[in-house]
Amino acid sequence: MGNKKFHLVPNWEEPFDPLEHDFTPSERIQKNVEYVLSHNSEIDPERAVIITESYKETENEPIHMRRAKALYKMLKEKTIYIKPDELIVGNLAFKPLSSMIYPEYSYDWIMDEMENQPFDQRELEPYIITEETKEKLRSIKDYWLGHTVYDRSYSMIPEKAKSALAANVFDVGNYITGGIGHFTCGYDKAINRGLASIKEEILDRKSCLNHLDPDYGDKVTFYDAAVISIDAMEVFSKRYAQMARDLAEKENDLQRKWELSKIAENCDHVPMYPARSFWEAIQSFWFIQVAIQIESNGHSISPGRWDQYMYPYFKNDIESNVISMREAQELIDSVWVKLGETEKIKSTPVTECFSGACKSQNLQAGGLTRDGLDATNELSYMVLNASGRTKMCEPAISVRLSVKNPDSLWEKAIEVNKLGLGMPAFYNDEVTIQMLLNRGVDLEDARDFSIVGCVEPDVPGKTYAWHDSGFFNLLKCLELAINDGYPMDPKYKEYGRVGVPTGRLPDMKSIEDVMDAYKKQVSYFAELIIMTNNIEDKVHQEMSPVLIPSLLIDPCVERGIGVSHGGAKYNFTGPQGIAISNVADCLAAIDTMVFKEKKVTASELYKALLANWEGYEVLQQQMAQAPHFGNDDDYVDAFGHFAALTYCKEIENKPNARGGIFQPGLYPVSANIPFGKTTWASADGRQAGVALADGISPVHGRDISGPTAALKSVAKVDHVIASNGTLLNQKYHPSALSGLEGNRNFMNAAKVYFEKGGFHNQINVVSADMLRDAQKNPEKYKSLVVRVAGYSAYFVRLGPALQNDIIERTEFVI
Amino acid sequence: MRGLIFDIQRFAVHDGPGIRTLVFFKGCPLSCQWCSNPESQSINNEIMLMEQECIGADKCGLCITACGNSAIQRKEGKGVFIDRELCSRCGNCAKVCPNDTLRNTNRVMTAEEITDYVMKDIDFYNRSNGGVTLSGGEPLYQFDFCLELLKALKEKKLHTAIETTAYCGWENIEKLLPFVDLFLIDIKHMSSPEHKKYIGVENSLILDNLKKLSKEKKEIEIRIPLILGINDQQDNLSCTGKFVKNELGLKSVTLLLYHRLGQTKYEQLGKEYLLKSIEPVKPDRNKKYLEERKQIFRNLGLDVK
Repeated sequence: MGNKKFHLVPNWEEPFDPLEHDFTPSERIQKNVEYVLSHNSEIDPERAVIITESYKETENEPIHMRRAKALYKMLKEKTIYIKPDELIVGNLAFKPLSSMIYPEYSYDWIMDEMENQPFDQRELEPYIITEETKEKLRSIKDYWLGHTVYDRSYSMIPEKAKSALAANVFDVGNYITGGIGHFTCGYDKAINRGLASIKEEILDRKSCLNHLDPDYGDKVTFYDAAVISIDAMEVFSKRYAQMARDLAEKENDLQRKWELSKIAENCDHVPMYPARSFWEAIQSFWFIQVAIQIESNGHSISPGRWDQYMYPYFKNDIESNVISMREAQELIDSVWVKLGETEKIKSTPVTECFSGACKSQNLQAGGLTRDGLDATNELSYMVLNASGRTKMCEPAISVRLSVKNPDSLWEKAIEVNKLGLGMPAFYNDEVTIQMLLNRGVDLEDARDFSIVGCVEPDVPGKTYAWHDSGFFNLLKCLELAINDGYPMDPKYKEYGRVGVPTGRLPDMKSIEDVMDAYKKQVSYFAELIIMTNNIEDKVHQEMSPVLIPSLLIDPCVERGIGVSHGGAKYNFTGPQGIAISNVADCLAAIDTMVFKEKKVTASELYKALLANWEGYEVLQQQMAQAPHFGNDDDYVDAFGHFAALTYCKEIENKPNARGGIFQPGLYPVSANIPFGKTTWASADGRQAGVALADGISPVHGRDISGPTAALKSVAKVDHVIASNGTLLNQKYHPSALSGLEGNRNFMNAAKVYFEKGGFHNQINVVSADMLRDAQKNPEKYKSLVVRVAGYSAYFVRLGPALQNDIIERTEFVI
Repeated sequence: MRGLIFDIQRFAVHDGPGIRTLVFFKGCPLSCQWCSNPESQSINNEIMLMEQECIGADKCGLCITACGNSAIQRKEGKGVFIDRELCSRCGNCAKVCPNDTLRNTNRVMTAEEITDYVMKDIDFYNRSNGGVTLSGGEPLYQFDFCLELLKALKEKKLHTAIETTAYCGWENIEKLLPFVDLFLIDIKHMSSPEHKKYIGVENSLILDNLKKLSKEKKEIEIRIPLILGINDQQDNLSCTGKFVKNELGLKSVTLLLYHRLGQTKYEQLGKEYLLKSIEPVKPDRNKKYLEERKQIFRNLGLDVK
């Protein structure tokens, strides 16, 4: 690079075709990954201590200044490191995979879990914590307890919303206990212009402010704070430059010495000034990604269309022979390991809702350009390669697929999925664009969408959308609907009537009565979740506005209003409805068994439900035999459509606290599990406590007519209105996807799903471990078919010996 | 006309090109010991018992009451068992069973019902050049029904494939020709006595039909199930290859690896599985074994799938 003597990989000169499925990482990358994974998740108290000191010094200052000064102090004082052999530098916590603490959002659960239910003994996502750390965290306890975003929000939430939260009709744990995440800022703005130029713009705008603007004071404060945040970034990057220089001086290995001096050069230049090379562009990107996540613990900070905004740098370096294709891949793989190094602790209840989601730094390949052309380029394939080569759970990777994208992009995406990563997810450009247009997004912006977090469409650099603002349990609404607004579970008795009076099942004369009652409950709780989200929103504006995203989400700087206060072009709030398919199955079962075939009376069924099926086991089995959503049966699929649409209509377009609107989503992350625990027995034969359906996927094991039928059922739901995203998870045994033929069959099936209006599809290529789980929990895997020529049988129906046989086969088929 | 089928499987991807729907017919004139669909063999209804699904006779017991022959009996523990000697296969027990514990293998359907059902995936067939494959059992065992169904499928312009033993009079196959695009046919053994021993019938009719079929300009896929120690000998495979190449004039064969996935179904039907001692072929462990066998065909200039 420049100096031709040194190269990033020994075989830099060998030809490299990004379309070939070469998922073998270099020795450096392999070591980088191993080094990161050799660390345990640990709690890092540094940030908590620094912000406390800073906050104490700024008690009476405007909140934007307090946030800016705290950020400056953190970036100046926190531990930094450069890992052996890494090419991209910049770290969150003091060690890889450790998590900082963000006490300003909520602190009581930290103290509670630390003292009463040790972090290292958590079932999900355990953390090591040293005695020294504990002491440090205890020492700031008095400053925070009772004074956090959580405490303030909770004190403002009215009693009826609190009882809805207590009965788990909906949940807002994500943003009430943590920072606002789920956005994609304009990384390209930082990379192309450099922060110094943004600082200049801010100073210009500040000097031109209209003295008669009633918000003059707020705007000046915002601009001053924004400048401090840029200065903080400069201090931060220069610290790495210095560290790299020091290390270079001591380094004896000439190759590494050269790398370290290049790193120092890079960090001296970016993110303050425009990147001059692909390496610098990546370094600039990474500094922004790190700083956002030090400033706030909001998760799902999504890099967006990486293959697009990085492309000019890649192309230029390749064309002018600054780097080879293999070196470019090495740099991409390098930053993938950095993305995989991040960790953020969440409270146990929030972890249950978001488990396995890692940090959800969602990053895309493919799709359309702003002008509506195929946007695929070499980087689109290389970013997918990088996930295959690093095999870490971050970044969460997605492919955007429009009818204009080439089949080779599908092919690459499917091959990466076959590695068993559960990634990339597939997104339908045509439907996504419709979703956004329907929410008032401009056409070119809509074509430029990126996916945030799990499945949320967003316009990068222009949107602050509070995706994942809450989960809303639709099956619980049905439970309340047939029980006059009371939870059926005796343990919620103390809360009395949580919902609205709608009568009890025995009083209902037709399925329309049941549907009507469901609608009333959904409508009531939709208002409550909207109200609760807006309360939280105002509290975040008052107590924890953020600055770095405000620099890079337009037109905040132009308007002098930060993202937290509605400075973005597009402002949304997006709570998710879950358990659509359970509601559909229940309505079909009640309609079939009670009203149509009259095999059971409404009173009898009601009694059975109250008894959690105890003593009614035969009825439970019979109810479960009614038609199920996910089998391409128009009768029951219509109930699914109804269940979803009812929720979406109640949420969509309601005003939010930033001048924008609410938009509904239909996906659970992992909230279907904790929500299932608190939902009583349901008419589809489900017992109290059993997990709910995953997204708009059919209920586990109920889609017994194969993947094409499931795809058709799910496509019947109105995806366009659910503009905060829908989620379909499908499991395939590798035998169904083997070889090129298998790729093509999957692609063709997914294309039909997209044509019919489906939005997202994610495949789990079943692993041996999953099959072992299926042996233990056959009810979850009833529909899993092992596909062999001329043979039909379901995995769970095979005896243990044969199942073991298949598990053994599965281990090598992928 | 009504026919008997035992399953319909969507998104079948190993029996003909593209995404297909597989229609499984009841009844078969052969009785291959390795058959992975034992519920297909008899044309009569049979009752399959999946014990693990049973919620217990003390809680349910509907099947016991429904059986007029006292064939269903309470088992020690919670479940039930079927005394197959007493069972008349009437299926009443399965009709009252509240879940899938007891299942009738017979599904009576008309050609029209089947066609309507398979048409649900028309978009998937169109995109992937897929279609419908009749399998079984032996589809030709219910010849008239099979012919009617094929005609109905062809009227919908679907690509049709049939997985057949070819163990039938040539005149029957001849009648199918206008309605079938692809024949999937096994050659299980080239030695007639061996064929009789493991399959129940001699092979001459099958081989004769294959020769005639090869003159008809229809697409034929020859499949060879590889069963350890039964038909995987060098000379038998080489003999098979020569027949495919010289007598049929085809360019490739497909090897199907023996698996035991059907074994549980034998237990569920109260039947004995005779090949318990034969190891399935595993592509990872038996790499050399497989390569050697593939080479036999390649040496003859045949492609091996």
